[in-house]
Amino acid sequence: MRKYSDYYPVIKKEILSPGILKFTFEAPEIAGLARPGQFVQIRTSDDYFPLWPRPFSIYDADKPKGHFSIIFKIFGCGTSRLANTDTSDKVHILGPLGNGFDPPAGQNKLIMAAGGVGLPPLYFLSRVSVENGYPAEMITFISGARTKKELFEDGNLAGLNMKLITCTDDGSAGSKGTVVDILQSELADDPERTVYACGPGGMLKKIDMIIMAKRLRGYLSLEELMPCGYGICSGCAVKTRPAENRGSTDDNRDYHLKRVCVDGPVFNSGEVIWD
Amino acid sequence: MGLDIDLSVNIGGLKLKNPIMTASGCFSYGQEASEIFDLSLLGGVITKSLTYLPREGHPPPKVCETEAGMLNAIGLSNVGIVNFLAEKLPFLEKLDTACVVSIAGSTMDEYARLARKLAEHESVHALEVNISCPNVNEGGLEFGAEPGPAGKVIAAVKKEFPRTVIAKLSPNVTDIVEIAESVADSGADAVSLINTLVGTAIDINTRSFKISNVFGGLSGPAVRPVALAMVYKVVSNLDIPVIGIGGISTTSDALEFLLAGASAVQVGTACFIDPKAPLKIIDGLKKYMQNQKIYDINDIIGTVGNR
Repeated sequence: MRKYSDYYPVIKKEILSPGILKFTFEAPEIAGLARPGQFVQIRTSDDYFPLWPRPFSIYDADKPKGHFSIIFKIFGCGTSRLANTDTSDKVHILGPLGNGFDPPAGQNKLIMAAGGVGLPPLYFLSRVSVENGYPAEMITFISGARTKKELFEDGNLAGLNMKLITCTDDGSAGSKGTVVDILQSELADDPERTVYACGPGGMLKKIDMIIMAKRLRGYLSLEELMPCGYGICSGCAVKTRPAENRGSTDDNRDYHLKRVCVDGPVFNSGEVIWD
Repeated sequence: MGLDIDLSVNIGGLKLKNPIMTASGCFSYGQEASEIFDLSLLGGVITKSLTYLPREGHPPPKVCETEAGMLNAIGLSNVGIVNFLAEKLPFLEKLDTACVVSIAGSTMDEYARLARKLAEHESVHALEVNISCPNVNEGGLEFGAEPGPAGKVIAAVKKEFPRTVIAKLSPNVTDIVEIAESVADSGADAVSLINTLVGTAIDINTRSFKISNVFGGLSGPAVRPVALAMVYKVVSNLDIPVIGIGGISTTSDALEFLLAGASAVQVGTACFIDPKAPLKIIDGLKKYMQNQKIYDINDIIGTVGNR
């Protein structure tokens, strides 16, 4: 797959909630190729603080306009420096990267489980699926955060007319409970679903266990800091089970290392061996 | 416009169209980067170190970021010689650039067997013998830390491989010049230096080491002055061609090594953070030479101090 590595301008900055920003870039080559579940590596400056670029899932891509956007939370020095760039500043972007999601096949009902800033790739997948004729009423979208001020939405999600459930751990907005709690109660009502999840590692691990226990089909998108993002360094490798061992939780067996950046970031449920 | 600029160099029989190569372990086997730019623009590509059998390498976490640098303990994960010849070499031999294969063994015999197998393929223009990996228990640095064993490995490889043999040296030694001397006496056509510096890092919150292997190799801009000093020492004491490695990220970094006497350089960690860093350096060298009215890169090499 062709990838592009160049300097592209920030054309729009939006604050979605305190510390959570949406940036839009003018990058026609990347916007033209981007698929849901893929990501980009961004360096704000050519200096070495931080050294590595930072990975960001693509939130949406507008091919005719040549734009794509990301949503991120200010976390450390990479995201702080990005947050401080001005519109029209150029940043170094490499992308699009990663395998992305396979489009949903057949007529299964889908559940999107988004924890915090794990929302972007799942929004992109939902938007493209609905646009390609997947019935919106067959998609349930769970968007959760720890508290109200970490919940964010820019209006697009509601516009897709899916069943949208927001939740917070402390109940300060939406339903009270974690994304995992909500997912479990949804699956109790109707277990025949395909699950797509993106969020913190702890959440993904729990969701993976639920999917495996219920023998459902599911896909997990991992977040991992990575030196290169395009497969040359092997630094982001995670332990995975060979296909014949999936469904087993005996992790003392053989494992294969897979690179999150090119073999992922989307993995099948049952594939990743969690710490 | 003025005269053409000649960037070509010859390193112990290995002809390069320009002195910029990609460092071993920092470019996989080339295919991934070919999705971003035309690899034939490079002076040469150096593969990830190959062992006879495939290796998974160390478990994660394998890397961590440090100030202007990074630590890695990948653990020589590689596809092994059989898969390399079947799946990777056919891609590399189509490129119009020098193909240098890095080899690493846990025994003297493994190095020799790798060299024998690769000698059969004319498209392997040179071998870089990794006697300096700091991250594996057996082999690697076991051979590179002492002049005697280092020389023996090179002699064994040289016996099997008829083309250019480059010895990649470790900075984790008392006197790098002594090691360089030994491999030169044993027939090495060139030396490349430096491999990574041994380091570690601790997460104070979890009170655990940041990489699974505890010790890793430090690379990136932070190591450049150390590497440059070692290159200059070897160049000043020996006649063998030297390839400079260590934190080279920009044109001015590469020029420092060339001025110090390196005949070529390798770009490593910089390929992670900017895949096109080697190309930017090649373009920058041309601009520098135009400005300086120098038309042959060889007229730059080793000229530090000549004003």
